[in-house]
Amino acid sequence: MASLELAGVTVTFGGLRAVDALSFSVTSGSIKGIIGPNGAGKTTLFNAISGITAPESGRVLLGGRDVTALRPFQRAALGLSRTFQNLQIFGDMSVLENVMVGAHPRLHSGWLAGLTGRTRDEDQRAEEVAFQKLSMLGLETRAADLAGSLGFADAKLLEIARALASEPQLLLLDEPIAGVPPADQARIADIIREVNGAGVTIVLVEHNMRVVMNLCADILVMNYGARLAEGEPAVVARDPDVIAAYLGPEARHA
Amino acid sequence: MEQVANLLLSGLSSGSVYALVALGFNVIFKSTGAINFAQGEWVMMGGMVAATSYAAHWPLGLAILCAVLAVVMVALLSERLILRRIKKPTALAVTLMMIAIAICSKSLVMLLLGKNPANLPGFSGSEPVLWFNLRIHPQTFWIVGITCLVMLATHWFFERTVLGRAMRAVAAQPEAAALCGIEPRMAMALSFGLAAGVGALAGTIITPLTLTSFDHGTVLGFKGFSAAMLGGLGSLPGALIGGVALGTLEALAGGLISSHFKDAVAFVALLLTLFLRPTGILGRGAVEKV
Repeated sequence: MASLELAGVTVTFGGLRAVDALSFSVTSGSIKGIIGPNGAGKTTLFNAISGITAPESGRVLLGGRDVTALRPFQRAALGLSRTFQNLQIFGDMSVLENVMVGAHPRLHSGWLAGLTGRTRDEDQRAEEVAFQKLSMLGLETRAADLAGSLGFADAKLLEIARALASEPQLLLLDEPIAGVPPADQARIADIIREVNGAGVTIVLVEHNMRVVMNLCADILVMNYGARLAEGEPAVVARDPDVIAAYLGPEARHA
Repeated sequence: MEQVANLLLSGLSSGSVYALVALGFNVIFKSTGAINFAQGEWVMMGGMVAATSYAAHWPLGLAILCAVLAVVMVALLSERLILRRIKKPTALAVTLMMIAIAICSKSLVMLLLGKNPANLPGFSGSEPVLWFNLRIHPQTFWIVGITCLVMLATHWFFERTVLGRAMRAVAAQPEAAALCGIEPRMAMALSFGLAAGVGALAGTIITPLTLTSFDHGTVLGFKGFSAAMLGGLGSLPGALIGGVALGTLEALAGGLISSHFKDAVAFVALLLTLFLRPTGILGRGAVEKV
């Protein structure tokens, strides 16, 4: 079954079609790579899937259910989670608290209990989950530090930990490796593989081709908001249109 | 010496009230980035509703509870019926809308509760307490005590509860918080309710000392705003420090220089803060990592 399905999704900004009648689906339990030149509409696509940007037309389905009209927090409750390319961590909260907020969709107390603080058990469970995710990403020693004091690479790991804390069924990763020192890149790739191995469907936007080719069995190439090519890594890499989009039209004849 | 001590005490009680008003500004600023110019009107409304209920022979405690609940309702309705309808609730749009709500709140109180000043009795009477050579109005203890309690409770709420943490998350990164399953609008409504409740409480505890009337809100709001700026907008401990500092300065200037200067202190403090240290005493610089 498809964990995520897009049918003719179009997002426009003014006259610009950032995503142009795009349709694709992601098989449950797989890792789908989305690549394309800068400005191809990858992050806008993520925003449309997560509900931050409303598409002009088309439908978004999560696990077969039409979520096009649902707001981000409602999609989160259905098992969607994501990271952001331009990090959106809660800077003045501790590293542990950041991940505890990520566990929010798993909490079941009503707002009245939350207001009066009668949520100690759930709080403790959220803390346990958060700590476990931090350990998984090797951040457990920084748990008490202010999230804003983390370096770029650690902040990226923190975003992944926060996204995992909700125990998502579908995880959107927006350039999890870009800007991370080479020494840590392999570790993040291993973590992605491990998370996927636990049954989480992953959609990965990333510029690092080697990582994308290694992790994904299925790749979608975007250009100008539309699909340029789709399929297995080896096939996509040989596609003349893809080569032209990345290297310029003259490369087609090289 | 005795005069200065008396001035400091009166500064402490008015400063505590400024701190509570500043707390309201900070809670809403943190969650929406907007300046809630209705905060002062909510304080006035709290005092007026409590005084009117008390005049209708309600018990004092019930009158205060009723005032807090009524003002919280007004704030939640304003949020639900007006702010929620703003298509893009930017900080500026919310701020402008709050000015309109402030004007309406003030007129509403004038039309419903009248133009006459209203009063509440001191919570423990008004027989001064003798302490060394000082004669202290018993209401001073209530004001300082309640302010400390509210400050501690608010701090505990934001630092220790799931909901408080969720509200801080929305304030920091609304999109990321939404994708953590938190409804941003819920956090906004909650911050309005909290700010209104604290504001109304401030109005009821100061009324026994100063009376209140429908036109008291604007000045109280302005002083609370100055206190919030002085302490650092958005900082909860900053509200306490800014409020008490402003109240003390005001009392000293009024008593030692001339009572004409009393109201000018808040203006001067606000201007100096903006000129010299726009982030306030406890505010951190607005450093954005790119």
